[in-house]
Amino acid sequence: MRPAQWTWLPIICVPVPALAVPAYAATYLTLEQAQQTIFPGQKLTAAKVTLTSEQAREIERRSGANLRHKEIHLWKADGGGFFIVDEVLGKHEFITYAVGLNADGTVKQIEIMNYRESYGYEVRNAGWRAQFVGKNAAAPLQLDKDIKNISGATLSCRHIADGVRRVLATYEFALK
Amino acid sequence: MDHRLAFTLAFAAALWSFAALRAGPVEADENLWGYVYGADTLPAGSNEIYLWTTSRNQKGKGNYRAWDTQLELEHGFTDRFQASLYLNGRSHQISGGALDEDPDRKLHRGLEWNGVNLELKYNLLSVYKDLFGLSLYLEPEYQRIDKISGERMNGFALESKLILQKNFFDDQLALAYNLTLEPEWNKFKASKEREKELEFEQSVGISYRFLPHWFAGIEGRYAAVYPEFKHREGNAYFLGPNLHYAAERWWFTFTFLPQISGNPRIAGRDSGNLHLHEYERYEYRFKIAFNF
Repeated sequence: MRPAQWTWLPIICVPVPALAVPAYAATYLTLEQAQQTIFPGQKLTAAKVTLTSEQAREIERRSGANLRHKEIHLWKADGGGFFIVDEVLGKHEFITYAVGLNADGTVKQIEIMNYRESYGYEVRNAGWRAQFVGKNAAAPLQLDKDIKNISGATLSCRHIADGVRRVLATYEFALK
Repeated sequence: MDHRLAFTLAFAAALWSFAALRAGPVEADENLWGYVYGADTLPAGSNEIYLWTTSRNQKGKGNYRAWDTQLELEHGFTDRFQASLYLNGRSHQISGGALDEDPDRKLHRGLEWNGVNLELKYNLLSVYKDLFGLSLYLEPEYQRIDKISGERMNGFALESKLILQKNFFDDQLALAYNLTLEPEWNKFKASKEREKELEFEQSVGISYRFLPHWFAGIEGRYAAVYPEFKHREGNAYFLGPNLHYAAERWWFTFTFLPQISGNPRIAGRDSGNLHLHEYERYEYRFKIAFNF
């Protein structure tokens, strides 16, 4: 084999079965399933909420998290409270999750709806998600402070914590 | 069929089979850059196998082309500590007076075994949790073939790095800096000559996720060599683009790295403002890795 051909050596080691397998993309809960999980038996009514520029600025300032969209995917629960669908960046794709807020703006529950990454999936663990229950907009929601990290899933943990903090700030400045 | 090609095809087939059989999500330590190292380490219990090829080209006269190929197996022992074993190969095409210190040298050698490296990397600060990522890196090496001339030798080196990384915009933009020191001790087989030198490098990389799974960036590198650990003999600056793609179980990175400036210029060759004794006019590197 001529020396020049060794340049292409790594390419022939591309694992073809991995190429043929669809990207690891799991839908764990549909919208309806997430709503019934967080607000079982309650009727949820969609509400269109578009943040003003001032609200967006305040939410970013308070939460320290970037706000990607001014349109909020929000449903109001019959018994009070809000159901919000949000997404945060994983390493390669977005993570879609739902936050249920009580009528007083504290976290009722969070659920991972879609997880499209090849690792860090431990954020779906019920024990990890339970750390957010009862948190309000004043909570730091920082890894290694009031939210325990999962080693090997730090990026996903941090981004979801940032996202929930942003949702709580959204309640403070736009929904209260 | 060349026996080395046969071995490579057999290895690739084994890799494909393993990839197909292995189930479940995997952890990954991606290299966003070809030359610059990021501060991340593999999660505990994870493994990654890499194949690298680096092509170094042109010395301003004659024909010069060299390839460095590495097979690396990496394991995460803890969430902060990983180690790798490298099997290295090297090949050269040299003719037409390409080497200024040995203009009569002609060499056309295919891939041969060049030695082994052991890499140790420890993460002190997490790029995702702390103000910035910080890792320390140590790599003892044994080499049998001189990088420039292709002469056979017994060479030992100890590469050490300080790795810093900072991410921005929800980790879509990554910026990394490496400081590298590498003393080498070589004994050439034909001449019995001994030499020692220190290689000093600073490199910077930036990488941006412009689409899901796709990252593009730039790498810059300053390299200098100090023979006998004394006065600098030569230095060069490199700057070039890179491209990175990550799928579920594998990723690749390609970097094109031309030299943009160097000193001293070597008389009698088309070197422009480049230093073409220790370094080449341009390099490119391709890495592909599979996680399991």
